Amino acid sequence: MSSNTKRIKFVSISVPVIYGNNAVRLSPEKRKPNTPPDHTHEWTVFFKPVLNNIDLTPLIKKVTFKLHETYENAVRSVEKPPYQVTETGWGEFEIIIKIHFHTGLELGISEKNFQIFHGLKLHPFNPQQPLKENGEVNSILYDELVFQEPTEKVFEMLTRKPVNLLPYSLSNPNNRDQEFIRTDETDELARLEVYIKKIKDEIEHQHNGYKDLEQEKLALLQ
Amino acid sequence: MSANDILDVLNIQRDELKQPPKKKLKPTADSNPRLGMARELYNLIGPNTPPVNLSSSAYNTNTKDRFKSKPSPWTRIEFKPRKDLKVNFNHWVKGSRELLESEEETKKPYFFEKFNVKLDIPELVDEETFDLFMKEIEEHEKEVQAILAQRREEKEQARKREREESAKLKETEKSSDNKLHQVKKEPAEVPKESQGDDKKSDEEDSSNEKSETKEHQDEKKEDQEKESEDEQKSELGQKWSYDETKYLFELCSAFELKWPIVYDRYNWHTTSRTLEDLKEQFYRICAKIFESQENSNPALIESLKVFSKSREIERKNYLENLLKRTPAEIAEEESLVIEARRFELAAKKMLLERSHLLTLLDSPQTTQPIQQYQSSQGLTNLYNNLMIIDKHQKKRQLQQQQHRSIGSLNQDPVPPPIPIAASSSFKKDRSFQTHLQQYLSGLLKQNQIVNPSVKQEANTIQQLLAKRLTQKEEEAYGLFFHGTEKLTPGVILRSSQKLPGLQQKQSVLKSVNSVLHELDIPTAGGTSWKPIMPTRKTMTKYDELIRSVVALLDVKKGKDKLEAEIRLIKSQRGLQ
Repeated sequence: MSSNTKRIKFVSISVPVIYGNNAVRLSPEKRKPNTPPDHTHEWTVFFKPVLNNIDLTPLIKKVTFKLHETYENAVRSVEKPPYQVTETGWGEFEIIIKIHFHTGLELGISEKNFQIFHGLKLHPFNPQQPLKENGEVNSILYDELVFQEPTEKVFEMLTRKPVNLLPYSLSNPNNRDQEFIRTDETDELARLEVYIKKIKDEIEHQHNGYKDLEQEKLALLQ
Repeated sequence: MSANDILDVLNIQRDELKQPPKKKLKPTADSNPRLGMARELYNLIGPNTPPVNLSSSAYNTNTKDRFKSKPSPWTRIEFKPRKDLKVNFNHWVKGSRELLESEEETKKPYFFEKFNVKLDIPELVDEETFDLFMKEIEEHEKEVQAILAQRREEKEQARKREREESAKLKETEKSSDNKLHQVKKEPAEVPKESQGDDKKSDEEDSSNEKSETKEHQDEKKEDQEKESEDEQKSELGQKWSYDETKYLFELCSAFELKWPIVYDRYNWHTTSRTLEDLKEQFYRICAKIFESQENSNPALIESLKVFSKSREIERKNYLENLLKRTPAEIAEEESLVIEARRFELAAKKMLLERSHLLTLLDSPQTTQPIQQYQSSQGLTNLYNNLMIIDKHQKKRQLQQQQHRSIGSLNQDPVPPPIPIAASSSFKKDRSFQTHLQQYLSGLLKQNQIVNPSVKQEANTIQQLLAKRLTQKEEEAYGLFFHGTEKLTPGVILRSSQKLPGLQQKQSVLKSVNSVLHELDIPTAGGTSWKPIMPTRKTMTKYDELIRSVVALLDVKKGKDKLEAEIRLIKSQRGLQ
């Protein structure tokens, strides 16, 4: 068993995940009798791997969503995928998504539980994003769970399938802000490249200015 | 120097009280000189008394004991080695006279009598039977001669037929050659040999000789024939008489068949006979005698009959030649043997190489049984398997092409995958190990050395290695090899990865943000701006960006400082 918990050095495995929330305005017909009258939105907070065919259940025991204290049962625990909680509410707050890994040496997993903070969004937050007809707000973020120096068991689990194989196209063109595809990464890279170029140019500029000033100083001192 | 002196030098005080009596003892010890040990050395023993008694009195005790025991009696007594001898002999015997002269002792045969053995040589028969034997022998020999002559004639004829065309000159040459041979082969005086020439060894020799010569028989037949001719002549000239044979038998029994001695002492009137002649006569007569007896050993008769004078002579000639070889000849022979061995080896090698070559030229042979493919069902199975493999390959090609097309649509800066058409380079790519694979295989080996029982994990890594992923495919698995970079084990979010560029003071990071603002780089307002899609690549790029901004800040700072200095100088100048 000890062999399973041995960590493979200098290696990391990244698992792309998305998390975030969808929110829609609560329509009168959707209201339930027990829905507080001041709740205006219905939202769903979730956490899932980007690829639908990736099963993280051997690794993840449960995912808890810590809602605002005013909610009844503020810590919602979800043991099976989909890891998501649907609630109604009126205000935005920070939800703590906590991932609980299976524990036990015999499983060969010795990862600590892990938290992701997500700010719940009920109202449109990105001015560049055109408003949707149904008034749905999507605040979905891409991230990667990076298993640094994975144990051999984890390594085994995560190398069964290519976990980082991001799709190249959207499953639905309307989901532009809800899905992340490989080209987004390349776009971002290109963007960053442009920024770096800008900075480099600026450095060049500043450096030239610095040299001129040095000359000036020397001239002054003579 | 004594032990006490040493103790003094080392400043060790020891047994102060006991020293006076010791000193008294010493002179007595000196008076009795010790043996086997130098006096100086004995002194070094010091106050310790030696564990062994050094006096040599131990030698005396033994002799004393010896004197005590009584000596056993020895008696000078008469004895007879053989009953028929009339001479008187005396010798010393252990034991008292009374005991030795008792009835029992005198009846016993002489102790060394048993060593006086006699050879069992048959008695020569009377003259009549001897004549009969000789006649039989002669007849037998004549028969043999006739057969030999016949054979020779046949051979001669065959040879004649062969050489009908050849010139007569050659024929004459041949005959003269033959004559020369005859001269050569005249039985030479055989020197006395010291080898065990008793009957038995001779028999063995002759039998050995037989097998040896068998191979050469064909070549030597001619010579042998000639020899037998000579023998016949000599036989005719020196016929064995009864008396001479009797004389031979007497000598043989007298000297116990020690042939060199027999030969040496042989002196019968005018006839001169060789050792082989003597042997031949003795053996053949013995064989005849045994044959005439009823309870004779057939094996013995066989072995007696095997003796052949001509072969014996030949053997001795061979041995003589072997003995008379000059050192140069020996060396030559040895070198020839070595050469021959070398040739043999070379031949073997060549054969081996040739067989290798032949297998190479041959169609490849399957190592697996082909039985299963011999039926029609087996053939279809094989076909299906091949089709499946083919399909897989096609699918893979298709996928890669798709990826390429998508990449080109979106201006993917990632270089397009290696075209499959260049299959050789494709293969090369497959055999190439990425850094990760190199590292993992190394790890695997190490693990196997450390703990060969690790199987589960080995399987995983092995499986992965077996897939022979390319760099791109590795990326698809989310795998990354960090080289020697230090990692904190555990799970992290990519977005909160500790980038080296972010290891700055909070104030620096703030100014970084403001710089980004200044340069119209969207930072989404906050100070903790991150890529929208934090992947490994974007994060490294982001890190690069941050670091370049920090560098820019440094340059700016330096420039600002310089500007301030210049201003200061200017203001000073202005004042002056």
